[in-house]
Amino acid sequence: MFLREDLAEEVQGDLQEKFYADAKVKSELSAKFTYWFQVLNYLRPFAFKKKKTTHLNPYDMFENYFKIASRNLLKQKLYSGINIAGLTLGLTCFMVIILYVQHEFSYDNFYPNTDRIYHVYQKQAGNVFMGTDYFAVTPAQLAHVMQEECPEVTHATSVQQTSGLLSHNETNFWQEGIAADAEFFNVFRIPFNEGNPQTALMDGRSIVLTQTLAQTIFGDQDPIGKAFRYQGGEEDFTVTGIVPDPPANASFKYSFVIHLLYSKGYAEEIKRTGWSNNSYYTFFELEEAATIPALENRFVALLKKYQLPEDYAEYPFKDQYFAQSLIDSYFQTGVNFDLGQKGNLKVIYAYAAVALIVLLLACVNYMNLAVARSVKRAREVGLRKVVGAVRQQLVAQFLGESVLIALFALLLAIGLTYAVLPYFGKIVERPVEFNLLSNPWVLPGLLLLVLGVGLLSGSYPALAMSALKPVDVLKTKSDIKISGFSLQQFLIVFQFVASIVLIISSVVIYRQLNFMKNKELGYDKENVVTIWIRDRALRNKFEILGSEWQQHPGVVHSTMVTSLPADISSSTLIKKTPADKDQLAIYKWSVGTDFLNVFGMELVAGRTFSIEVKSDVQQENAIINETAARALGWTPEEAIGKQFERDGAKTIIGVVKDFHMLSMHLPIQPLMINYEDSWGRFFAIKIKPSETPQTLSHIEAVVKKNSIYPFEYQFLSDEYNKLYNSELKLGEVFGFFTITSIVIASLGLFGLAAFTTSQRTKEIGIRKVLGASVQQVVFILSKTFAWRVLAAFIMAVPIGWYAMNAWLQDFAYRIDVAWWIFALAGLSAFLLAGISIGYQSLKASWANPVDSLRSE
Amino acid sequence: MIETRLGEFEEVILLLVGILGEGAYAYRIAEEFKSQTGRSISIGATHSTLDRLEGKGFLKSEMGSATAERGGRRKRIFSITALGKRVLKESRDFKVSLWEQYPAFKVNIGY
Repeated sequence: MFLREDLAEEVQGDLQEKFYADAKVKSELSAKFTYWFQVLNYLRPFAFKKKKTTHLNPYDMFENYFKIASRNLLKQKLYSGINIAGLTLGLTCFMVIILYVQHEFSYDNFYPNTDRIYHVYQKQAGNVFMGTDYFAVTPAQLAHVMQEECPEVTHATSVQQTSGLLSHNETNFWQEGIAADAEFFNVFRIPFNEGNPQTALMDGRSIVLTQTLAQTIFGDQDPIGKAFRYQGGEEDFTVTGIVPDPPANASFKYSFVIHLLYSKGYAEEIKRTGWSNNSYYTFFELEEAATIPALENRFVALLKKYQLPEDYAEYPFKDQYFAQSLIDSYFQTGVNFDLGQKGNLKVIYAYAAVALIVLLLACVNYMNLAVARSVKRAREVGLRKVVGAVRQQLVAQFLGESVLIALFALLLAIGLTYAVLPYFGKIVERPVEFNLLSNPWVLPGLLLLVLGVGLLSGSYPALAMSALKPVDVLKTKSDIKISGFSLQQFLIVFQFVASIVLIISSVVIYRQLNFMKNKELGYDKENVVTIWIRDRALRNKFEILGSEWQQHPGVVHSTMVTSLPADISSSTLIKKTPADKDQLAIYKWSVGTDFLNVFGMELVAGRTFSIEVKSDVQQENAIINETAARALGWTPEEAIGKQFERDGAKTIIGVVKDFHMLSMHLPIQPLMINYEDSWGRFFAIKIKPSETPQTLSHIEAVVKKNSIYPFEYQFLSDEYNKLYNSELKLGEVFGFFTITSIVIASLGLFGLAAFTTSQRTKEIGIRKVLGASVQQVVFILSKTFAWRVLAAFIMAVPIGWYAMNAWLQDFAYRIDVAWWIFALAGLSAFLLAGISIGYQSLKASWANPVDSLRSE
Repeated sequence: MIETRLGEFEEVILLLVGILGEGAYAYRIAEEFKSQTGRSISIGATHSTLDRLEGKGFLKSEMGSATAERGGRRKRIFSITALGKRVLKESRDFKVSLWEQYPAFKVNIGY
């Protein structure tokens, strides 16, 4: 009976009385039925036997658990160290990546109307430039027309990026800024620190500063109403507002906002009819109820209405406008000329995937080791039971211990994350903040995970060991065998698969980076100083500057170009004859006379430009590259003297050897080079490798003498490396992950090897007594692990091969994934496994068999 | 915290204990409840309520005599405590005062 003892008598009495009373009036069956119905009705809380819970002094018991837990940790320093270190490492990796991903997804989310801000893109189908036919720029008139004619648009603004020299009282500041029309602050609703957003950009002579810039220039004075000169001009600009600095997660940053009308170009552009000049970014705020497809339909009508026939008569590509939300456009990487920083979703997902794998490895490891470790405590369990511990207590103790250790690892990991984050931020070039609270799911999620890991890894010892019979455990001296190892073996294989894949990836990425760094480019990127021309007045002074630079013996050649050879980003269309229907998309580069010498390029045929030749100076002649000659159907020699059409006939005077004018992602394209002496964006100066500092200071002195603008230079090789920034980052992060995962896997293997070896001490002792040599014993112990690593290797090879081939597809020029890379990865995995196991195996096989056998 | 309020079912059971006097044990109370209200109730439910009322201090109980039809087992006889009586009275007074405030019936209340 389930009844409380003190109730049993009366209740049974009551029930029986009822039964006999019923039996008199009803059938026996029905009376019995009622009886049992009544019995079931006694299943009420008040009537149950109460559990005897006589905790005499629970606090002492808890104290004892803590004591035992800490003693256990200290007694098995190696295991506990490995265990906690592994989990900490995994958790740290994961948190760092979570914080990074969180940062990436937070871009531009700080505007009060963020979800209604959109960016207009256009697609010129077929006009493939730098690998894509999408463009981020639109005509100057678009913003205005959208606001007037589209009911879906509340405000629209034209934006350009600008950088310029702000002069105030003889002091000059070179700053990056935004040029925009009056609607800018209606779309990007930034709260002003001072001034009125509605009137701040009323005319072409107003400027809005960020707090920091205002502070730098004016200190404590009130900046509102103060006057400025811009770009060394004669006109005054007035400060009309102060805005906070754009936060770290702003995709485009600026230190001032100036009205677009500061440049005459915009004033003329906006008055022009026809939409052919795409040089402005258009952002708009969407009406709350409006939808994007409806607006995009309207774009078609707008284009029909405003685009003049002559806009596209010459131009074979039809425009098509799209709108994309500001948040999404942060991840939009396949667009030309886009504004601001971009995030790469592929890279983010790759990081996240790898971080998850590392975390998984760490958790698996933790469980593996915790289970292995706890088996040693069978005797403790036995003794506890003899002394009177109940099973629940043991379960609670093991689970509690395991959860506590896991929590400890989490604490360590949080600390480590805090320490590591700035370095990681540097690698990925993002100011990732240590902010675990900004997303309400992160911290509880991690806690839950750690609790789960703790519970899972504690549950085996808790449930299996608390069921042990104390007699069995205490009477035999030999260790008990635990089952369920197949799962652990599988986990080991999984760890090694992940490690080997990561090793393969790292090697391939490293090799590809090296390949790009050292590839024969067709030009010499070493010892070329490049100066981005900020002061436009200097363009016309190139001859003076050039001759002054040459006075220094360190300067070899100098020239002025429109872009650097590593990244030629201008294109046009040419025809063979005026009547020709077929047009050839061709990249365009304008250079000064000495460019061949500065960049170390070679002509395959013909000659280079000369100032003496009148037709060169008048831009009637051009040099093309080999690819262009091929595309036009000529050999280099045939091409000389031939003509093509581009704003009139151009005569080919030379063919330059193909060089990598774009990043290695893209194949070499047709290129035309023409002479230009008054319009350039860079000075490029070839210097001698010796005495570089003196040469540089001479170059600087010459520039300083001619311009008030601050002097800055870059080496061409650095500019070249910038092209592969994201790959470099990827390489570094992957290297980091690879090392982490290898460490974790090795730790796990080491721990497990130590455990299995200790389980087999007796076997080894007997083997040695019977005459086994040290080598034989080591071989026996390592054999099983070697098989696992081999299995892991076989699984890892196709995964690594597939993943890396997919990554390499992004490069037009790439390395082959050679067989030796796999061999190397496999070998290093074996080596690592060997080191992890070897120590334990050697220790076991060197041990004197007397020690291990004497006890029985 | 000791619960001192009285539910409707509890109130009826308490009254029945008073009515039955010396014969108030679980089975009898359940039978009496059925005959008075027409609602059927299990002994267990009655017992649990009695137990609860005892816990609240409205009832006390002692083991009574055994009878043959119970297989020689004794019964537990419940009786109302002073507190129980007061709570019953308060409950009645409270309801009466509510009735008096209810205008539609005010006239018909004759006492």
